Amino acid sequence: MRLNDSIDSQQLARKWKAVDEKIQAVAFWCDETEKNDSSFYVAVKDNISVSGLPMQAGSHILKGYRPVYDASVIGRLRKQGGHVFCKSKMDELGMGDTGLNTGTTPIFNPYDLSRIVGGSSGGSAALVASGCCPLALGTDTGDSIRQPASYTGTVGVKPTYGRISRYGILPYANSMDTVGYFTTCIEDAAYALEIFEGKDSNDMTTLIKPGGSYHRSLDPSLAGKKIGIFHSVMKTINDPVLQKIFDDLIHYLERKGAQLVDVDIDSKWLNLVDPVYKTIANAEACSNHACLDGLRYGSQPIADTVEQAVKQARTTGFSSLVKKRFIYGAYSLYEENQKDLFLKAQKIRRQIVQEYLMMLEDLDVLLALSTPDIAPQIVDLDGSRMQIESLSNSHLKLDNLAGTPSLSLPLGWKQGCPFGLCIRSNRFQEQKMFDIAKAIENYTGLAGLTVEV
Amino acid sequence: MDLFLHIGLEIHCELKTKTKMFSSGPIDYHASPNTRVQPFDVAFPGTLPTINQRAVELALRACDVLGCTIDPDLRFDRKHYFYPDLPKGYQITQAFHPLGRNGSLMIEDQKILIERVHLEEDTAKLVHKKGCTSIDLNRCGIPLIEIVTQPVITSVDAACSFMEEILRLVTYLEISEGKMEKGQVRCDVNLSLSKDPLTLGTKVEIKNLNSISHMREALHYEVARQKEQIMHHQTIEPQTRRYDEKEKKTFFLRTKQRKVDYRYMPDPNLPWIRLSKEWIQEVLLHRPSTYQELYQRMTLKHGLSEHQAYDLLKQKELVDLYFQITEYTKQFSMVANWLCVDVRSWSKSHEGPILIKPEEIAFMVNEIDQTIPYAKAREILKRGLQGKPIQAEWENYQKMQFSSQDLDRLIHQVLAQNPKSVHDYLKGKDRALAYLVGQCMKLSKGNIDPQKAKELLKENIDHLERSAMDEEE
Amino acid sequence: MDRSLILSLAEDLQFSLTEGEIQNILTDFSWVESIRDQFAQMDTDDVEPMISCSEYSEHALRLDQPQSCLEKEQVLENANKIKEDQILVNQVVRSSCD
Repeated sequence: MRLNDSIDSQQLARKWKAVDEKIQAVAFWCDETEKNDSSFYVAVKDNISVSGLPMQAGSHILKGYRPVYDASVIGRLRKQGGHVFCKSKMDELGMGDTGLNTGTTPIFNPYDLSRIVGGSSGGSAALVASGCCPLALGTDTGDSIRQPASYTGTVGVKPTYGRISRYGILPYANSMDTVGYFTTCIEDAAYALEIFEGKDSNDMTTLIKPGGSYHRSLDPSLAGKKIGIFHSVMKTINDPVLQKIFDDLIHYLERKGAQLVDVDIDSKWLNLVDPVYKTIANAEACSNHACLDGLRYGSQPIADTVEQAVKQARTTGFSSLVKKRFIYGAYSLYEENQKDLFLKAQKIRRQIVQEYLMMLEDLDVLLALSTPDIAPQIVDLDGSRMQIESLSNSHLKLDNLAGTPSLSLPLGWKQGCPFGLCIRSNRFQEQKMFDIAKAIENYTGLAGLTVEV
Repeated sequence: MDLFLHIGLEIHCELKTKTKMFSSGPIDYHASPNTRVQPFDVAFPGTLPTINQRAVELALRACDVLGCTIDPDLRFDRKHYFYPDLPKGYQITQAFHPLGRNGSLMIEDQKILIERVHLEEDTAKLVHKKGCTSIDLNRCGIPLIEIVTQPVITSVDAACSFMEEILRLVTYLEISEGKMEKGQVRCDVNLSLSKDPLTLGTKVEIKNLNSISHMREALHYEVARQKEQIMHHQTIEPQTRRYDEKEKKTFFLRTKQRKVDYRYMPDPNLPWIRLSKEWIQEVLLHRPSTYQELYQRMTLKHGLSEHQAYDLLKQKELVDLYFQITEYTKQFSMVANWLCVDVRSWSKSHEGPILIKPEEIAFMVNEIDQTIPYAKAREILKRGLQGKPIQAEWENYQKMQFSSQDLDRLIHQVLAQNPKSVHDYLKGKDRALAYLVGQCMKLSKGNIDPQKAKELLKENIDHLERSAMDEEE
Repeated sequence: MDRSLILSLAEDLQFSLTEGEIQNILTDFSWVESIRDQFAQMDTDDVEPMISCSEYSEHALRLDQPQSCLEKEQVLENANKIKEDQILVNQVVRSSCD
């Protein structure tokens, strides 16, 4: 489904209900009577405030909460004729990458209901993948748009940090949170950035410089483009199916006149990406969610004293996994630990980012597979342990540490399930990213890809 | 045994801005509960802070006058703790990079070192009732500066003097109303006693001091209490105490054995702002004058006496009015006197603003001894305080003034009607002249200048005498 | 990392943990400590911590002009207990630790 498609509202509404029975991607439906002649429907991840609609962000602690204000992106969306038709489910508070820890039922992959959809923006990804809407909003702090995009065969875009206002978005780690979105094709993805980006005086981290007319300027020519292949990441890919499809692409690009070059960062930095990310993310998350105390909104338990009420809200409101991450986050912020953990992580972040930006400087774009494989089976997962991720997963976090733009678009198939290619460029270079993505999309022929559930 | 007192002060001062520190929610101390609140103040998820320019300007004034080194990189941090008056679960403050550092203030010939002056936000208002507490978010987020001294104050008197000076400073710099009783300026005192002047004893914090006199009572009580304990070889535990003004004692509030870890963290939602040197200079150039600067101006430039200047400086409203009036007149001393006597006593018994415009007052002052005697002018000015229009009053007075012809006629009339008094005066009885002046005043219903009348009477009587003498010859 | 530290952290974060949760946290703590060791091997002597992707703001300071605020009803509508236009909570026992 694309942005310009004409739609039959009633038929669509029936389709939503039928699809969602199976994929379980919707957290809350928008009141249907409010719809009038909008030009397109949009699913909104349930960590984005829409006034009057519930927002639970996959967590029990926000049960019953209804924002009284709109996120800035919602205003921009409506200005261009977008209409919110639902809040999509997500992993609790953005801290998860499976779509299983949603506070209610898991989200199922439209391509194969026995597989995960990924996360934390899994609900939005699934709704676009299943043809329910041409556009869905999400957020990406570690890989939360690009990973589910890979698992669901959608285009998932994480722009440069600061392009899109975070005002009204429930935070996870403010220094890395980026608002992004899912579409079924690159043209829509380019257009969507024009809808959402721009300076917002409510968000001091937004960029002042005006954006581009990405959609109009789309140029899929490949001749002379300098394209990097992320060597260390591709070395970790074990799957021959994925490897072959990737290699075929590379050969095609070369034939079309692009200059392909193997690039890399020293493994000592790459090995630190995940630990640095997790240290910073856990610390910032536990800080950001200190406002969830059960006193002014959300779940408000009754107890004898305020202290007991707050404790009860936070004990029953957060899952074990989230509480664990908060504990580690708070630990790294303790005065005696900051030097070795939190502060140290921030310093190493700067070093990693310097290396990464240097690598990107000479390139138009950098390529790698978004995920090492298709979506895992639900039964194969054990999410309770914390461990260091393999580079094939954690490389996506580089773009969150550095704030660089990055997208995933569907590249190929294995066992009937899609997997994605990650294209990224230097900060503010979304045009280059979209241009080459368009060229690759022309090659794959997968523009507009959706699946009948 | 000699015990040495070490006192350090932590002063929080609400800044006089129209909006809050990190949101554009309006500040209104009289508003009904929860009507001056933006989403950020409730800490709804997803809200973000923005920095109030005026608050930074006002804080810069304080940093300047307190002699601090100013950090041009504006940076903010989060201080985490849970309390119902802190919706975000953290307060945005400046832990690592305060706006001002290493300042000082002279108090009674001692240089009190100031460790830091930084910006932060105020908490919500809690009202504790029986069995429950209610939260009003109007106050949440009001800008504060925190002034922290080194623990170098060595007497209760010096601590109170320091506090008085700070109240005066913030008032004159127009960064705050400066009223401790209203909670606009709050002071927490850290004190310790030790046997060695160079080492600090165990720190005890005293909170809830809402006037200088309470501060004095509380500190005297606490020093005595600790001395007693030390005399009895009891250890002082690190603790927080609160002052109870009814009992006039300090009471234990909580222990400070376990150091609270606030998990300070730079706020990623507030990127650094680099304040340009030019902008800072511009802000400081246009800041209001301090008490000391005004005193200099009044004495050195305007020639007021020390007494007059200090008298005026007791009330900032009068000082402001003084400088407004003296834009239009050079009668500095007269203006000062009028303000300190008539206006001060009037404002003691009247609520509300002074209604006369400075230009009008200056006009009257300039006319004194030109077209109107001092006493009359004073009366008109008094009526002006009650709202009567000054210009009109002066014009009325002018109209009622006797022309010199009328005055001559009046003098002759009085002289003709009181020959005995004329005769007595000529005989040397000065009281007779006073009586004649009184008659003139009575006949003119007070609308002549008695001094003028006296002169004319004397002239006429002398003339009469000479005429009589001429005749005799 | 030991049990008492975990309980102390949980207290600071205002939630309680089940025995199972405590054990799980303890078990994975070696992961945190291995990170500390990994970090310790990196030389970061002259490196400034990177606070965020946007380090210096491009925005000017906000002008001190009041903007519209929420209606009282909007402030209160998500709170379950209200009295006299204020959010009502239970008895506050501790004094603020600030």
